[in-house]
Amino acid sequence: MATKIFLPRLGESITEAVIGRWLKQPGDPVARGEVIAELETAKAMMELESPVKGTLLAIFPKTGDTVHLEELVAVVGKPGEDWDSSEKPIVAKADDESAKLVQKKDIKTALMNDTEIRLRVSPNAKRRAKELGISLENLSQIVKDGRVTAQEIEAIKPATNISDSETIPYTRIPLNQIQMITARRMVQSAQTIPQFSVSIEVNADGLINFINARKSIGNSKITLTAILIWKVAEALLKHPRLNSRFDGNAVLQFQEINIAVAVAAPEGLFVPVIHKAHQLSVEEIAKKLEQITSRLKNKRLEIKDTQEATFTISNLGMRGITSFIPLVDPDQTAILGVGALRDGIQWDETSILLRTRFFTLTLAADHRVVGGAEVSDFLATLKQLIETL
Amino acid sequence: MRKLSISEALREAMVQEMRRNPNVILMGEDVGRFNGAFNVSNGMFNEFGPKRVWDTPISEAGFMGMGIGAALTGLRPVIEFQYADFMFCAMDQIVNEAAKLRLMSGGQASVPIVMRAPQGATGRAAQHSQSVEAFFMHTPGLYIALPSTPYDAKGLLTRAIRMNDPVLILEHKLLYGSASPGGGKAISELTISDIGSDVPEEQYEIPFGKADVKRVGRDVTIIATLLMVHRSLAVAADLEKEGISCEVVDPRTLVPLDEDTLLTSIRKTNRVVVVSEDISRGGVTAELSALTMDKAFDYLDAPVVRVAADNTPIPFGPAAEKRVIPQLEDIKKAVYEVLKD
Amino acid sequence: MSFKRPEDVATPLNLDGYEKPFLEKLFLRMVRAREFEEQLYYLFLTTKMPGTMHQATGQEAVAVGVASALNTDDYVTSTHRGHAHCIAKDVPLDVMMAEMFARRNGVCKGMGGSMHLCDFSRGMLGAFGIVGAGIPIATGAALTSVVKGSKQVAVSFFGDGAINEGVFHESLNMAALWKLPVVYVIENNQYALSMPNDLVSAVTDLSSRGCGYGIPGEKADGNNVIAVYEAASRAVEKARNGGGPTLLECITYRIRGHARFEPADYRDKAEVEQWEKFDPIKRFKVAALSGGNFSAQELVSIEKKVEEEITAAVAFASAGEEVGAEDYLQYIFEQPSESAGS
Repeated sequence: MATKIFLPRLGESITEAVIGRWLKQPGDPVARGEVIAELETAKAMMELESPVKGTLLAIFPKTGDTVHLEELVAVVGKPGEDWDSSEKPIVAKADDESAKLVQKKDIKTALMNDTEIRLRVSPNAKRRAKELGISLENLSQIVKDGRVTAQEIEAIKPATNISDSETIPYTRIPLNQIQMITARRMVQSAQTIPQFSVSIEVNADGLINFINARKSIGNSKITLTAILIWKVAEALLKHPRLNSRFDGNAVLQFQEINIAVAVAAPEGLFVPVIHKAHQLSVEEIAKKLEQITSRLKNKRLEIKDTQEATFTISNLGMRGITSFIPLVDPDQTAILGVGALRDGIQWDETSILLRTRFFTLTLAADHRVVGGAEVSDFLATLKQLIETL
Repeated sequence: MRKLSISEALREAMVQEMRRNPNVILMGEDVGRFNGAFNVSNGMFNEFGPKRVWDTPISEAGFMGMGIGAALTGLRPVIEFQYADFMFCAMDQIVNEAAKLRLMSGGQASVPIVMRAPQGATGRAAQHSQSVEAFFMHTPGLYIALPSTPYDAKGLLTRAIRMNDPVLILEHKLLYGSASPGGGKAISELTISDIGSDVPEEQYEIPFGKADVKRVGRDVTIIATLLMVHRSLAVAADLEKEGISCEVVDPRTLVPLDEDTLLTSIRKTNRVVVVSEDISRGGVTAELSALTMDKAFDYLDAPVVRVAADNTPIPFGPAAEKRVIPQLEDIKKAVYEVLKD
Repeated sequence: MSFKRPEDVATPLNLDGYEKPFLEKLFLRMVRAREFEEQLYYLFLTTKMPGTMHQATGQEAVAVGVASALNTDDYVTSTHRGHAHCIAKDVPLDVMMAEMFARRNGVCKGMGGSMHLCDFSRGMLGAFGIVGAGIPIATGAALTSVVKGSKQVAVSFFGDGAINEGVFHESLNMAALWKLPVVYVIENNQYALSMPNDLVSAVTDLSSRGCGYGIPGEKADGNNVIAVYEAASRAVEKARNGGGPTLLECITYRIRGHARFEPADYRDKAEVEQWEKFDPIKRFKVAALSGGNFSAQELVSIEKKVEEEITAAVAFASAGEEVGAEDYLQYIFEQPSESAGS
């Protein structure tokens, strides 16, 4: 088979050469290693040798021609041999490519105009706005300067029928700090926690007797709430997984039981905390509760009163609510919703109807941490603790 | 559990592994008979003798190359450079040979070598103070760990010795916690915390590519390494009183980098401060900022704030050194900055 | 002028006293090295060869003479001009050729190319593209031998240019200090790319540099494979028995340019022709025939065998899969990378 000779890479930066002179012509015999042409490159004069012994069958560039990388230069073989002329490497068109000028668009630096203040919205805010379906067009009314962040976005109620609500007259009532924080945390809870709830009916007879007994000996301040805190703490000792928080790839099980109680005040929703409830007697709990509520009423609630809660109780029973599903605090795993005391009927073993009092407890929880079985067991324990008071 | 200093933890890692595996050797200047310039190899020459603990002449390129040759032929050398700045004398062997041999040989060569070096500014001027991690982050084929606590130090070094690729362990002079035989204790740093000084007696490994959240927080993510971890923790404790909750994340290894942990934290807080003792230009803070932008752009409520050394060789005068190297106030200012809007 | 004339360097080449199989081995290895490179030389004109090559044409006796004094498990480090060292250590031609072609069936899986050939199964720790890089590495291999008590010896091949690298001095000092079993072979082909010895070295008696470290220096006629073999054997024996390192200077000549397509204009054609007359393979053939150690037929049949081996190697290489775009991800670390992006 005939051997084709291509212009090799004569140096790292050399992509072409000029034929200085052919030392052999087609038809001449050549030995392996014999010089057949002289090449001129940017660096030096080089010699082109024949790689095989044979007859020079063809040469392509003429003296003075420029040859490019991998271009076919010559063919050596047997006299009269047929060689495939179709296999020619593509000549590099290096210069044409670089000659193409890239059209650059004139970019006006339209950043800051003296009279124009550009609204800066953080990437995080844009993302949250998108998720919540909020349009960014009307934001200038909310934020006068600085950057719009996700916090501001989340505090906005997404407009549903924008055109309709534009024509209805309204009064704009800004949210205060407490309400803003609450709003943010409610959204965070709804957005990030897969919540589910389980309810149970608890017989309140024993509980009511307990309260009355304490009342009669003058401990008038042992409230239903205090007793619930006391018993919930006891139940959490047996079911510690509900006294925890989800943390990405783990559950942080708290070593203290700090129970928060939701309290509605004119200013907004407060959630003061009874710390280390598992170590307190019901009297101590009742006393702390009284002190906190008093501080709250006098607007003297301290930061530490609202920090480090591990579990929350929300009681709407005094407002007549039979049952409800509260929202889990974003830093906790579970919350207990307490309904109103109601009259009921119960059967005993001999099928005698008895009048009884009961109420509904609803536990809402983070399904990443616990499932139906665990919350059910917790409520069963709690029911038992309350019913055996 | 007993408490160890980083210097003791590193020593224990080497000693225990050398007892377990006769192929592990230690080489470096003054590491044997002098017990090491920073006392890390105290007692090792006595226990293991001159065939396992080699006092080398001042020939960084030479003994680094020898370490590579030994690693290629069945030993597991630990090469101690007396100061990170001196690694530059061995750059060719580190970058062109150690890091590239596996690839160039198509997997035939394995270079199980560990390089250790102390870095950080301690008033010894420019040639004994540089933080060099960026040069080696930019060297493909090298793993890098920066242990900021004794627990991390023992676990990371044990793992490093057992890995079959070249590993660089950068230590901080002010975190060693031991007296240097050459002259007294390293300058005391009041903000060094006790954190991570409980070290198990048995051998254990910390996998590379696992960052450590050294403090959980909600408002800002501070990513820091080595001494800056401790400065960040001190600042975080301070800021807690102002109601600012900082999360401090220590990557522990820069190559490989635990992106998941960093990004999880950033997505939680939406604000990032990156702190490193190396210079800002082309350094650790630049790389982490780029990563944050690449992968957490949509979670940022503010641009990343970088706290790093000034782009200068480190000057001698104490006031000047203090000005160049990130201090507590610089980190605090950065947190305020990122929370600004 | 440091140029050494071949007639001043040459010592008599006598094949007597050596077993025939051993001599065959010597000749075979030299011819393999020569033909491997010659074939490649022309492949660069007829095939799209990636990269370049640095030929050791004319220097084969140094590689073969030294390597023939070693066991398979003795270590060798080499240079960017490493084909002959590999072949002398019996690295198979086919996988070497495939590596030149950047194929997956290359000895380094197409990841290294000509300058980084290595074969750990034969103690060939690698060719290196950084001048002098192999010197401390061979010294380290010798350290392993001492720590393990294995009696293995390491040989470091390097050129007259490498002896001016700092690591040369650092390595020799430590090798002598600790009596490491390493032999340092200076392949003095009289040019470091374009620079002759006297323009770059203050003292051109290169093997005398050992005296600064208490290392005995020796010179040998680099184109006399027996002379090289004998000098190397003594040095290897000494090292193996705990006698420490030797600095062996083999004086030879680089017939081709520094690299493929490097025309070496800085040398006189006459100089090259002078040394071509003392070609090591030519000299061996002459000595073999005149000494009655081989018949002409035997020599030709060895040459033919090599021709066939090379043809097969080229076929093997051409048939090999080209390196894939993502192959490198497997070789950065022991654990393959999924991507190497940021």
